[in-house]
Amino acid sequence: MKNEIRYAPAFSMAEISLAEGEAVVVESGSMVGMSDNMQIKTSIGGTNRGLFGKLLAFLAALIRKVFGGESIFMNTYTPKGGPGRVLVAPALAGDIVHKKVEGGSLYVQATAYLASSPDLTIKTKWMGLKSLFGGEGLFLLRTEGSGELWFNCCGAIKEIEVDGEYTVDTGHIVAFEDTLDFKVKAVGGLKSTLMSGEGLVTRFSGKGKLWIQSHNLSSMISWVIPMLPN
Amino acid sequence: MDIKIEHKPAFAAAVIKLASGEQFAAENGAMVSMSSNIRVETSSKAIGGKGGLLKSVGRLLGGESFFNNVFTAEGAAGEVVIAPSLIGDVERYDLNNQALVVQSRSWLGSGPGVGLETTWGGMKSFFGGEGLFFLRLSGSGPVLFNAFGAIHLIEVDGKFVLDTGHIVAFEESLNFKVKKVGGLFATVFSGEGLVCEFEGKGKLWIQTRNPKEFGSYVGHKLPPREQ
Repeated sequence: MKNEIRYAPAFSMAEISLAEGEAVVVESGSMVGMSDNMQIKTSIGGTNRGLFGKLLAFLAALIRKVFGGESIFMNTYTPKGGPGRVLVAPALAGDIVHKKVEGGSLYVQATAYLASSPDLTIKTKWMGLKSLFGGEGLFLLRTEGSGELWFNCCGAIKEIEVDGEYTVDTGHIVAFEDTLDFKVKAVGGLKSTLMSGEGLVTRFSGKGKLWIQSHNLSSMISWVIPMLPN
Repeated sequence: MDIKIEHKPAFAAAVIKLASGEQFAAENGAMVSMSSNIRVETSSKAIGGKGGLLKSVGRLLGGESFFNNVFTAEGAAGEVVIAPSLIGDVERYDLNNQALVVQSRSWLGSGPGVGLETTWGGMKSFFGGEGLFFLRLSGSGPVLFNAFGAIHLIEVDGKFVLDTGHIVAFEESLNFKVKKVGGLFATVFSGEGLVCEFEGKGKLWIQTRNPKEFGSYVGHKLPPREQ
């Protein structure tokens, strides 16, 4: 499996080249183009195992669909009779990160998931009220095992090596290694914390990598809405 | 005529330097700035002296403006700066007695030796809700086209499958057909819907973002439209 990301950071697109027998799982709607020997298999998001896991994945996907406009479905691309390639890009303007996950786990915002190799298990985790990430992050995706992962963001991406403590606006978190602990804290008063889903920051602690995005769709939308005509 | 494309790929704009008497046609509303000796003529006629009202109506159906502007440098050299309304890339292609097919929303401008006519993606694309309209540019001279996102060139030799929302332009040596992405289940649920299969040998330009995908993603977060 080969990866090449071009047109970063505003309009990143990943070209994923597969040898015969390899496959890649891509978020529904993110395929730009592909070689004509690609077979597509559509399935329900996540690779959770067991009935409960599958149910949770479906529920999470449904909630993402309703609140985030994301799709419930994922597509697996497999080249037949030779190598093939798939071009993938997210819907929003922004960058893509490609990461080889080798042991350890990575947490990714559900809306940031773009693609992964089939050997990487992607589980949907209900994070509880702990993770009111910008009002949409009740679920995080958690990787298990080894494999390749592509995630995207809104705007440019910044990788931060946390060693100690680091604070991020909740709407700007994209992904982080599970060696990091996190706590969501109020930055404003109790009312704004409870009512708006804004005014929350996340305090990370420990040692590990953290990816943040320069922009945030919710903030941009709040900027645009007052400009819209009635 | 000298054309420079600046600020690629996010905010691309073209600076067109015209010698005295030279002309350039551009999409209605694309002009950013120009020298004071540039005369602007607005026409509902297709450029290049071809076409007429009917062709213009076709262009309107294709989502393009009914009018286009012809810029002429009068009495001396001058420059025109043009840019698309959306953020994204601009590319240049030089026609030499051949044709280029451009997705109707992607035509930005062209030289006076280039003719323009409307063509479309066939009933299948229409009923598939994709509404593919294309402009066929023919003759000789420079063509500028723009996209939502960056423009990526694919040298097709054989077959290549492209999501319909990502088509920008292609050489006429390529044939295409609109088809389903897989079986019924995949067509309905994959989120990919209809795709375009290009076949032959030639250049295909694609955009790295899909306006519809972007619109529906952002649209979910906007308040509902008042009826």
